[in-house]
Amino acid sequence: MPILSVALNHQHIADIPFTSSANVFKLLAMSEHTRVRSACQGKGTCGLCLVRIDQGRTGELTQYEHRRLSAGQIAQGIRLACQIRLFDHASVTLINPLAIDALDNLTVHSPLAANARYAAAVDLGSTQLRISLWDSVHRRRIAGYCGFNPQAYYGTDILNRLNAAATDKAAGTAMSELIQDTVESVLTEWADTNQLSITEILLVGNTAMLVLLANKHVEQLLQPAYWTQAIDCSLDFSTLGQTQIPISVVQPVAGFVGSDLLVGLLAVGLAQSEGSALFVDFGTNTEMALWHRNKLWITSVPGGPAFEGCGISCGVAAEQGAISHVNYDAATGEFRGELIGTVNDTSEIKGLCGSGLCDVMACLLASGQLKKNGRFVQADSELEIELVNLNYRVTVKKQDIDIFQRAKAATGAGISKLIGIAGATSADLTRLCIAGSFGRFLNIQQAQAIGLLPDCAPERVELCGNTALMGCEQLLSSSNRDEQLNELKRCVEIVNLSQVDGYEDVFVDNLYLQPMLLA
Amino acid sequence: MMLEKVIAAYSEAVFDTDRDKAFEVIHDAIAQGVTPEEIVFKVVIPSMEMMIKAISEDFDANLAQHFMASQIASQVTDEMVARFQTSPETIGRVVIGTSYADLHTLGKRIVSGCLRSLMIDVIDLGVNVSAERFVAAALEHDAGIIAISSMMVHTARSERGCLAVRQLLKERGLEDRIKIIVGGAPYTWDTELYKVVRADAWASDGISAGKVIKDLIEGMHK
Ligand code: B12
Ligand code: FES
Repeated sequence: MPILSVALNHQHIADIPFTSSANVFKLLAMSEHTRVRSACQGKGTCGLCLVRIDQGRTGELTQYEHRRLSAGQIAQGIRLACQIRLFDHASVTLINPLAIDALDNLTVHSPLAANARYAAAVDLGSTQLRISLWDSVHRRRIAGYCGFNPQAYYGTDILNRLNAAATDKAAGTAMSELIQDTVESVLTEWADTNQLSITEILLVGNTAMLVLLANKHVEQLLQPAYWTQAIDCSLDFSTLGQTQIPISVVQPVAGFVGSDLLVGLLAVGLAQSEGSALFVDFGTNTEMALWHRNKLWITSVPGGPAFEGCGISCGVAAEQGAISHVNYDAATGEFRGELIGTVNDTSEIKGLCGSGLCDVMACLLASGQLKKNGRFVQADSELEIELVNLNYRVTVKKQDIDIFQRAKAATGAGISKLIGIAGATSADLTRLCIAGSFGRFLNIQQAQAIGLLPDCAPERVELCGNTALMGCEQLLSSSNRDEQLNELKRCVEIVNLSQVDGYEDVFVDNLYLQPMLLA
Repeated sequence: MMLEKVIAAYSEAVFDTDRDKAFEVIHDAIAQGVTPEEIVFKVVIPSMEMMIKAISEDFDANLAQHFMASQIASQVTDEMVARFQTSPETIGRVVIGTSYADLHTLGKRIVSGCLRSLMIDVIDLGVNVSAERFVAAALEHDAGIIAISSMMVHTARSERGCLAVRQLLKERGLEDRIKIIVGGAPYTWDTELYKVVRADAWASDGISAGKVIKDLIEGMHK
């Protein structure tokens, strides 16, 4: 029987036997640790399922691959897994694996023995699942876990998952159990190795994640009428599986305002700010809140996963080997890059993560190779940049810029409308808090130059990291949880951008790569 | 010849998403004696068709370009049509809207702009349009085409979206008189999706939508 040998980061991770004529994407999907990312279920349109062919005979490139891959990638032997049929032995390297190493090394402390009380905080993200073991008496994190959300199998997109759950009862149950099982196995291991008992579990997440866990009201989220209403996400079980540990969720504010945002605002103390303050949590769905004159204006914009590197030909997640920063030196005309982690040789460099891509846009504008409307000055369909210090060439395609522009425009227009509706101006902003893993590496000046963020003095910008988990931990230590949450909720004014006049025009204005114009 | 220069200058401005420049070119041409009819039929439409050709040869215009091209072309056309000697003959009529439970407006707006500049009558039903309203409006306005925009997978596939429009047309025996065209992001992700939702056609962008709709209309008149 022929065998497909699979490697990741220079390490051999699996041998998959197959019978005649097999599709590589499907072969890789057979086991959890070899799965690759996909947003099109193998149709060839998303460009996410990148692999490098190291050995073996594969057919010609398909039309989808010609569209999605850059000349540089093709030269390196990179292909789309879903477009390759195998007839005989082959080896491939995964470029965009579904299970990424947790980059977010959560800082942990050793446990203090005396009268500690341990609880678990869980941030249920659509892409990643973060759990911490929290000593709520000493306010210390004892252990941390960050892994892929196993529901991704049912769709990388939350709408696909909601759809799957709404149309297939078994899928709904399975998705809820996947989360429960993951949390259970992590907590059981912690309790065993540290010889301690966990007194409670508190979860936060976006509303879609919470309804999927509760396995109810899934259909409501697919209807516009519910987006600004409260949706009941209480759990029908009070303890988690075999562990018998009490479990509860922090209820979301409305259909598109999850409890992850709410507790994130607690974590950064947005409502305690001296003046007006803006909070932006970047993701596939970017959530934002503006504290202005004792009101908390909240909205969310679906920019798509471009900031996470998804759907971009040269894009990868913000992990080891990704280019997180790019700079342009006008004097020498040279581009330089910075990596996350270290690599032994250039073949370990994976591509641009969201912040790197954002830098590239700003650098190409600065070098005069890109117009602010997103067209290359010299009408090529792709452009190669040499990062001289890394001895690495990265290719940006026209469609990458288009996708990035859309994500940027959705976010920029959201910020600009939110500030306008609240009656504030960018001069009012005393704090600009950026959350999320994209935010961790963001170069603020470059982001401002292309209009992803509003103008604001650099010393007012705070890169806050994972605020949802931090906020959840704070609640675990709080003696008056409900009061704290209710106090915040009372100030909330939800802005539904689909009902905001002129959002669409501001969106188009924000497609241009230029400093943000506030309405 | 002068018109050629106008077409080239106008197309370049549209391509560069420069609205002011595009209008400047048109107004200069009018000042030099080009008629409003010539502007529409010999400048705007040919330039639109050039774009169709460029796009079908795998040129990726980005969203900003699509949007500006459609808005500029439709504004120029509106302004010129108002100055026509006799009211112009339209190619056909389309009712357009975003599908049930979908509130995304932009795709529909771009497509409308492109169609208007190609002298197709467009009646915009807005967003979150039910199947009943699509069909009732098509009958009321005597439109031969129902155009449905969906920006999300679940609204494209919904039983209450295009599938329901097809069902109504079938029940009422309207399938020969009214054709359905769909478009929006989910159809570009899955190019077979339009068949699944039982539409007659789809188009990947506003500019090629004009051509596909023209073909559908001509097909019905045969
Ligand atoms: C702007 C935007 C919004 C705005 C819409 C504002 C408005 N007035 O339109 C707001 C913020 C309100 C919004 C809300 C939501 N959105 Co939204 N949104 C977007 C965004 C950023 C751009 C969409 C857009 O306008 N594109 C512009 C169009 C014109 O581009 P286009 O598809 O290339 O259009 C061409 C063709 O498709 C074609 N075409 C289009 N229509 C038609 C029709 C016909 C007949 C033909 C022939 C051709 C055709 O021609 C067009 C021009 O060339 C996309 C993400 C992205 N990066 O693209 C998400 C996106 C569409 N939204 C998404 C989601 C999930 C939502 C929400 C559910 C989010 C939420 N949780 O609240 C809500 C739903 C609201 C609702 N019920 O509709 C998802 C859909 C995912 C999926 N799997 O389906 C997307 C893809 C983002 C993502 N990946 O997460 N959104
Ligand atoms: S899975 Fe989408 S392109 Fe291969």
